[in-house]
Order: sequence, then C-alpha cells, then structure tokens
Amino acid sequence: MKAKEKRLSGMALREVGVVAIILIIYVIGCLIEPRFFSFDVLVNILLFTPVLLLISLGEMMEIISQNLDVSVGSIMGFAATVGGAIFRYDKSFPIIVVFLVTTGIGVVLGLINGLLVTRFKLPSVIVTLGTMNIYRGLIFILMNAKQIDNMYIPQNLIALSQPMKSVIGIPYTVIIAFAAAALVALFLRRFKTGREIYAIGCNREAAELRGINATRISMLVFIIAGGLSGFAAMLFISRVGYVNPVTAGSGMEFTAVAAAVIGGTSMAGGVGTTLGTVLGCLLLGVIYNSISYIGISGYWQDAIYGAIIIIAVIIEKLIKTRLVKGQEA
Amino acid sequence: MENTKKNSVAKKILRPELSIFIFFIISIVAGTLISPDFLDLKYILSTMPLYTELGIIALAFTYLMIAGEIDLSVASALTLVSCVSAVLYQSGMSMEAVIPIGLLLGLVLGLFNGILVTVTKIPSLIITLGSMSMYRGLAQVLIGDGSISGFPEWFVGIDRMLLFGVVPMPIVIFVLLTVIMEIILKKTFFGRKVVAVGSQPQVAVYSAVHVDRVKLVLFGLLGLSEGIAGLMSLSRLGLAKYSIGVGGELDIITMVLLGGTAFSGGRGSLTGTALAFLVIVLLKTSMTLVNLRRMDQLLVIGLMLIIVIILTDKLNKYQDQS
Repeated sequence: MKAKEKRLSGMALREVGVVAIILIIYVIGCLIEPRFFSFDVLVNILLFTPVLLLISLGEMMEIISQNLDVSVGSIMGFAATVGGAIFRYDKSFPIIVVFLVTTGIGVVLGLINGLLVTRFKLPSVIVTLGTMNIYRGLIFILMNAKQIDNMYIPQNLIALSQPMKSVIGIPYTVIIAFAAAALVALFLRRFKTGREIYAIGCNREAAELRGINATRISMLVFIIAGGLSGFAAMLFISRVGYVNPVTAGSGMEFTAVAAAVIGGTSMAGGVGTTLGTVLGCLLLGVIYNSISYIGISGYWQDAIYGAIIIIAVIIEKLIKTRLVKGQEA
Repeated sequence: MENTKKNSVAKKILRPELSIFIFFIISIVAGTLISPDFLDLKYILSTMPLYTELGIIALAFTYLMIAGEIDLSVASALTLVSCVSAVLYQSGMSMEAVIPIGLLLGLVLGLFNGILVTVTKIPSLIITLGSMSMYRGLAQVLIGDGSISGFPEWFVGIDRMLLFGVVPMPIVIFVLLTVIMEIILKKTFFGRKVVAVGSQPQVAVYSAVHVDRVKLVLFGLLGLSEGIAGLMSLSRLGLAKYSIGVGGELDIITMVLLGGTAFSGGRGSLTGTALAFLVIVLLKTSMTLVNLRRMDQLLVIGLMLIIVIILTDKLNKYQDQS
C-alpha cells in the first residue's frame, strides 16, 4: 500500500522537472529583457501551443501504444491545404463545416496509416515515413504547387487566434486546444478504451491475453491522431493566415515527438500523461518566445533553440532522477 | 536431403535485400521506357554524385540504426562541416590544412551526440532533434544568408575527377566504403557486437559488450562520414551555404530503411543501403528526365518505401521460418 503511494507520487514528479525548467527560462528571459515580463508575452507563449499541442497529443497516444507517427505534419499540411482551398472557392463557407471537413480528412489519412500498420504488421515509423511523403506529394498534385494567399482566408477565422478579439484576453484557439487536452486527459484516465491504450503499450501480449483487441486499439489511436492533426489544421490557418503547401506542417512531426517526450512520455511505450505533453509544448513555447523577445539576431535563433532543447532535456532528466531517487530513499 | 538443399538455395535467394533489388530492376526498366537516353551509363554516372554525399552518410547511419539508435542531425552536420571549412579557408588557411580539420570537426559533431546519448540515456531522437537545429543554426551564424566560394582549382569538382575516364571519384569512394563496411559488419567481432547491441542490449551487456562504447564509436563513425560528405559537397558545389542539404536526414533515413534495416535495430545490411541508394538515384534521375517536380516525386518515393517494406517483412518472416 505504502509502496504504491510512493510510486504514484513518483509519477507526478515527472512533471515537476519540466515546470522548473519552464520557470527558469521564463525568469532568465525576464531578467535579460524586462519587457518579457508582461501579459502580452504570456499570451504569445500560449499562442505558440495550439497547433503543436493538438498534434502532440495524438503523437503522445501513439507513442504510448508503442507506435511512432512521422506523418502527422503532412496530415496537418494536407488538411490545411484542403481547408484553404475551400475558402478560396467560397470565402463565406461556414467555418464549422470546414472544421469538420479538415478533421474528417485527418481521420481518413490516419485510418490509412492504421490500416497499413495493423494489416501488414509493419513498424509504424517506416509506414508513416512513406505516407508522410505520399501525403505531401498529393498536396502538390492537388494544388498544383500554389500557395493559398491571405486574402482568401475569412477574417472571423483569423480572429480566433487574436487576443484582442477574445472576451477574456486569451485567444479562442488556445482555449479550444486546452479544452481538447482536457478531453484527451479524461479519455485516457477514465475510459476503458483509454486505459487499454496504456495496456497494449506496456505489454501487448499480456493485454491480448486479457481480451484486449490490440489491433482495434492501434487503429483507433491512428485515427485519433489523424483527426487531431486535421483539426489542428484549422488552428494553423487561423494563426498563420495563409497556406503554403511546402512549409505547412513540415518538421512538425519531430517537434511533436519532442514535446511529448520532454513531457515524460517514454519512447518504450506505456508511459505518458496529457499534463506532461501540455507542459512539453509550453516549454518549447517559452524557449521560442524568449529567443525572439530578447532580441537575439535572427542568425542565432536556430542555434540557440537547438542548444536550449538539449540543455533543457538534460536538466529536466537530472531533476527527475534526483527527485525519484529521493523518494525511494 | 534434396528438399533441405532446395530450401537453403531458396533461402539464399529470398533474402530481405531481394525486395529492393526487384525495385532496382524495375527502376532501370521504367527509366529505359521513359527515355532512351536513360540507359546512357555515362549520364547516370554523372548524375550520381548529386546524391553520393547522402549515400555515404547513409552507410554509417545503417550501422547506427542496427545498433538501435538514430541521428536526425546528419544533414545539418554535413552543412556545418562544409561551412566551417569554407570559413577557415577564407580566413587564410591552406586547403591541405582545412581538410583534416573538416574531418575532425565531423568526428566531434558525431561524438557530441554520442556522448550526450550514452551519458544521459535520453532518447537519441530527442538529443539529435536539438543538435539538428543547433548545427544548422551555427552554420547560419557563420555564413549568414550569403555563400562562400573561390576554393583552389585542385579542390573543386570532385565529381568531375574520373577513375578510368568514366567513374566519378565520389562513386569510387562510396563503393569502397560499402564493401569495407559490409565486411566489417559481417565478418568481424566488432560487427557482431554492433548487431548484438541492437538486437538484445541486455544480453549484450551480460556478454561483456560495452554497449555505450560501441554506440559512441558508431556515433563517431557517423560523424566522420559527415565530415567526408561535408568536404565532398564543398568540393562538388564549389561553395558553402547554410541551406545546403535541408531535409537530407529524411532522404538518408529513407535509404537506410529501404535497404531493409530494421528501425528498432538488430538487423540490416550495407548492401541493402547501397542498393537503395542506387534505386533512389535512378528513380530521381528518370523522374527528372520526364520533368516531374521535386515535390511530386515524393509520392513515388513514399509509395515505393511502403511496398518495399511490406515485401521485406514477408521475406524476413520467410527466412525466420525456414
């Protein structure tokens, strides 16, 4: 009983390290540049998260179930391009409907990934590396490599990510993303299917012996991840204001994996929390914003961004092991 | 008796590398159908150096993936090596002195990842995701948006130096490295250790294999290949720019996986990677011949990757059965 309690609090400690790093970087940012200490900056840090958070949540579920999906960035790009194309065709198209369309596209593309992985029993990284190229290539053939310009995007969609247009000063996209995160957390903690995702990630054979249909759960995870990426596409259009078929979502897959893993998701599967992933996204957001606010020259930004990611994951790991060890002693 | 013999012959032929070999044949046939110029061996040989730098890194990458690790920073490291070398030359150093420094720098960049991964035990995917943007970022800091050129005559144009008047130098280096590295992997103690580390790390530890040391050596080796590739790209292009080879890490990983190396480690071959390299070169050449845009080509490469993986998987299962 006591041992169990200890383990539980040990699990919660996973997140403490990330929180500490977020605070450290934030404080350093404030010390170097006083302007950094303001409500606007906090909103900007939050604004960094919506698209990344939705994609990372899907990625997290896939990693928990011992899959890895590198096609989520392409799925997001695909859905964003189609969404943009709809607006180019008719700017007054109901936004809710387009939300449904992009989510539907994500679901279908995720389903294709899931079918390939489960039917042929293939490693998901390789399958999704293939589909990542296929989806990206398809965007090009469909769109004839043309960008969808800002003038086609409806103003009320762009308003969703503007703090001024929101009642409480926090953009609606942020609220939507965090609401989605809360739903995912509820699903993973309280629902049978959610628990089964952890079960097949911990020990697939044992899970199957207990009557869990691992194939069905894997399929579901791919569909959810695809759907979330498709949904994120609309938040992406809202934030960026145009859709470029080359850059939309490219590189996103690795950032999403990083956010999930920084938040304590284990690459070995079976371990990971929604809160951790949210914090992982916030950490990347703080790093990104502090670099641009402190006024570091544009040339240095990539180099420092990379270095801070490495330093942050190392310090976080040190804090975590220290704390867990302290618990055990 | 006869049956088992037959079986072993079939087993020899139906190797996991067979699937990529089939695609090798298909791509030659398809290329010839598309354009009669395609079969011009001289033309193909002259386009190959475009991709050889990535191919050379893919060879060392195969080792690393067999050992169960991954490195996303490879293309950025290539760029950083070529940019640093260019800056050193520009600052008055002689090219003869710059070459060893470039190789050494590659080694250091690889070891940097290796040390971080083995000491901290953080997944290599995450560490190298950081170094990927760090290395390219440093190259950008060094050179900015411009480019550096004006290297000595003898250094520039490695792709135009021909062996026997036909084979460009990069290809020669690539083939030599493939053969040497395949022999090391299949015939030496070290090669067996690499496979052991990737397939059963725990067992490897109990068999007195220094898992971390092996991984460190492999990261170093990969770094060295980045050094070679960086200098080669500097020589081939005659200029250094921070945006060279953007996205190359995915091309490299595709080559390694196409060649039948298991992502989770423990299985793989250099011959497979080399064949995959050839297939990609042939495909890209023929697709460029028919004016397919670079982005449209992604679709073909992606489809091929999935088909090859399905085939390779079936062949692996067949081998395990018999």
